[in-house]
Order: sequence, then structure tokens, then C-alpha cells
Amino acid sequence: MTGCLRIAIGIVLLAHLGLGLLAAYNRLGPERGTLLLDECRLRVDPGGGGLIAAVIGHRAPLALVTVSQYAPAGSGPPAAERLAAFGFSVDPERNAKAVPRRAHVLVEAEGPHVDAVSRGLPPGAPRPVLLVDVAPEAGPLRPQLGDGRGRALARGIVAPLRKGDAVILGLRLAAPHLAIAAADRALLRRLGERPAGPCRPRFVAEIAYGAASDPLVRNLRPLERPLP
Amino acid sequence: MSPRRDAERRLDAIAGFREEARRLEAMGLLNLGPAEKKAIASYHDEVLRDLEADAGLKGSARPAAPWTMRLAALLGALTLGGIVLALLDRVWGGLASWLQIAVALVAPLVPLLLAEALFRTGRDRFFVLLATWFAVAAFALDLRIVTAILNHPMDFAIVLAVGAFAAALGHRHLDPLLTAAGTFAAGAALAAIVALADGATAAALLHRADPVLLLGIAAWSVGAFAGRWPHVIRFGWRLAGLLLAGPTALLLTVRDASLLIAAAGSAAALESGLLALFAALALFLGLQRGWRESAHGGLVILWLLAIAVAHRWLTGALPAPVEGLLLLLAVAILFGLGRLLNGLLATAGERS
Repeated sequence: MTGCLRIAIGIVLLAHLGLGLLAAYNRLGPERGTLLLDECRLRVDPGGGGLIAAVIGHRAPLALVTVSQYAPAGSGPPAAERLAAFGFSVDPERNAKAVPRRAHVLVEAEGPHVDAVSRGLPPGAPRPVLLVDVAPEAGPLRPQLGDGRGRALARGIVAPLRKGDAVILGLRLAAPHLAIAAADRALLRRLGERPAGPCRPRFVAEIAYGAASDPLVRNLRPLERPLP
Repeated sequence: MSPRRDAERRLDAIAGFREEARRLEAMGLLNLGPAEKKAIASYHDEVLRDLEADAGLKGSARPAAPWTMRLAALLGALTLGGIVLALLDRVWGGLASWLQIAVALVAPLVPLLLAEALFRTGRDRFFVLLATWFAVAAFALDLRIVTAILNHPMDFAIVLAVGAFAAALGHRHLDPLLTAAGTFAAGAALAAIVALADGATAAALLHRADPVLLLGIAAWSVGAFAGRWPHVIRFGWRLAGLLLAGPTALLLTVRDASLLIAAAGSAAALESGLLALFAALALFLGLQRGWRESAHGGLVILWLLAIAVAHRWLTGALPAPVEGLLLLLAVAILFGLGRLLNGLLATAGERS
């Protein structure tokens, strides 16, 4: 009977050890790709990061605001073959009870697709962070990383979505909320709520996706003067 | 002599020892120290709990607490938990990440050790279970918080860990409800992990036989390892588990019906191995503990597994009539093995 007690304590310790090793592995071997994002491209909650907020999972000091935009820009999501690759059907009825699946996502913060989308935005609107491509495995997406600046491979979740008569692949990041270090939390609290009106960034965040694709905020740097 | 008769004799012996020890102490002929007295009382309390669980005998070491005290304890525990949560929430943002993880790690261990202390000292079962359920809830919250701190998305492995923790703790503290809930949660999480490893959605798994197998194994495990329920209910769980898991062995050769042998890949191999292991365990424990349904069920599943493998190897290599004859021969051998098993069970029963 005491064996069960040892097993229970062992599960607690092993779960933490496993998560710790995964985080260490993630930090040891970051893949190519760092996103440099200003305040306007992040959802900032200076009061976020409390214990209850962490349990509920809807509030964090920082969260990425992303837009699904399949490459090449304007071509629309390539539905049928992507749906099949993830085991979904093009038949909306058959997908009615489909459970979302894990995926690898190519995230773009700088580059031609972001430029193309930004040109169509009203003046002063922040540049978007795009989810430009998706695949069940990371391999097919790696060649698109380029030199790695402004592009990263992230972990995402896909589900089939009905759009008119067609079915497309809906896409979101698996971990859009970002926990940050205590010093960075203090910095956000000092900055306080962003003033109303057009967004003028007051800080820049450097976000990296590591070997296990979990995001980590490497640096949060306040700007001496807010960007126009 | 039957196990129940043995248990009754042990119960009487403990009661007699306690009465006689009190009498000898009163006469000054026995002088046990407080530590020795406590050690003997704790040991006997644990034996009494085991007897109560295994043979359904009532030999509780202490009288049950009144319901008002239980209600007060429940409300007190909930209030205390809420206060601790609110206090931590206020200071949480100022703590370093490593300290947050350390607090989260300690959170399930405190109620776990409290439950264990209450269990060992023979306190009312309600208090033990209250602390046990708190430990499981704290572990689930703990993993939720740690994954948020590490920016790691929650996945089925977390559900598997919490389910296994609940099942182990429920078994330790004689709570069949927690054991059953934990086992089924772990089984469902394992099914989802297998589906994802196979490259399918968890929903696609519902159209195949694999969840039936995992649910069957979970149900049998509840019947085999949940110590507190009466024998007839445990028998029912074991039988239901075998009836669920057994027929999936028949589906092994049907393509698209299961991940098992018909499919290729590591997930299929893992699941086939799991079925073989389960069948061998059911056969072994059935023989050891005199569970006839488990012994026969394990034997039938192992035999069906062997027939499925042979069928896969021989398909196309032999004419259909020869294959049919071999199938008849396999059924006859199974019948003979069943009779042999009956003999072994009878011998084991006489020896015990």
C-alpha cells in the first residue's frame, strides 16, 4: 500500500522534472527565429500574471496578437490538401465533431507578407503578426524560415472551420500568453495602461521560439522615447 | 479456511490483545512506553482498515465523527483554501518565477502528506478523503500554473499525470471513487495520446476499437485494485473490463478498426504490447487470487491475440479450408487450456 504513496509522490516530482527539463531543452537549443515586437503588436495587461489569472489562463502580462494569413499573401488558405494532412475532411458534416489538432506554425513579424498586409491598413495602424503557414510537422516549414530574422516556428492548434460552402483550416497559437520574469512584470506595472489614442510603442520585446517551440520572452526593453 | 473467516479471527485477536493489554497494565504487569503503545495502536489501526477493506468487516479503530463536525471541517478547509489562494494571488506578481514554481510544487505535497498522516493515525475517513481530494485538486492547479509560467501549452500528458496521481492516491487511501475517476481520466488521456501519435485526431479514435480496449483495461484495473468495495462489485468491474477489452482482440485483423496489429507503427506496437501485458496480468492475478473470470478472460485474450498474429502471417499463404481447419483446432486447444486452467484454479483454492 505504501507503494501507491511512493508512486503518487513520484508522479508529482516526475511531472515537475519533466516540465523543467522540457523548458531547459527549449532554452538550450533555440531554433532560428526571433521576433522583435513593439508594444502595439502585443496585448499588454500590466495587472496580469496573478495566481488566479494563471489558473484561469486568460490573463497574462503579455499576449501575442496574431492574424492568420496563408502564404502567398492574398491566395487564401489552401484548404483541401491541408485539411487532409491533418486528418480532417472537406465535408463540413463529417468535421462537425472534429477535435482541434496540434500543428507547427510559421510566424512572421517582418517580411514581404507583413509588408503586403500593412499596405492595406489605415495610416498609424500597428503592423500585424502573421501566422503564414502551417503543417503537421516542422520539417516542411523550415525552408521558409530564411535567415531567421522576423520569422519563427511556433506550436499551434488547427481545427476545420466552415466558411460559406467551403471548409478551411482555422489556426491559432497553442501558447499565445507569455509569462515573463518578475523584473519585466515590474516594468510593465511601472509603464501602466497605454494612453488612449493612436498606439505609440513604449517598449520592445524579443520573443524566441526554442527547440520545443514554446515561446520565451528573452528581453523586454523600454524605449527612451515612444515611437511615433 | 476462507479469507473472510481468517479476517474475522484476526479482528477478534486484535480486540482480545487490546483488552488483555489494558487489564495487564492496570495490574502493573505490563509497562509499555508511550512510543511503543502508539506504534502498536497505529499498526493495529492499519490492519483493521485493511481487514475492513478486504473482507468488508467493521472494525474501525475510532468512532465516526458527527456530520456537523464533518460539515465544519469541509467549510473550514474550503475557507482556508480560498484565503491561501487570495493571499498568494496578491503577492504572486512580485515573486520570481523559480519561487512561483517552488510554491506550486509544494501545494499538492502539503495536503498529500496531511492525508497520509490522518490515514496512518486512523482518523475519520472523511477527513482523510477531504485532504486526499484537496491534494488531487492542488496537483491539477499546480501543473496548470507551472505550464503557464513556462509558456508550455497544456496537453494530454498533464491529464495523464493527474489521473495517475488520483488513481494511486485513491488506492492508497481506500477511495474507490477517486481510483475509478483517476483511472478513467488516465485511460482517456492515454487514448488521446495514442491517437495523436498515430497521426489521427482524438475524434477519429472514437470511430475505432481502441478506446474500448483502454476503457476495458481501466475498468478491470478498478475492479482489481480498488480495495474498499464489496467483492461482488469488484467482480462486476473486472468482468465488465474483460468483456470490453476481450472483443477488441477479435478486431485486430480488421483494417481501420484498430491501431493494433493491422496497422503499422510504434503506436500500434505499443497498444498491442499493452493488450498482451494486460491479458498476462489478468491471467496471473486471476490464478494467484482465485479470480476465475480474470484467469479465463486473460487466457482467452492472449489466445485471440496469438490467433490474430498467426492469421495476419498466414493470410494468403494457405488455402481457405486449411485456414478454417486451423481455426477449429485453435478453438479446441483453447477449450483444453480452459480445462487445464480450471484444474489449476481448483488446486490453488484447495492450497489456500
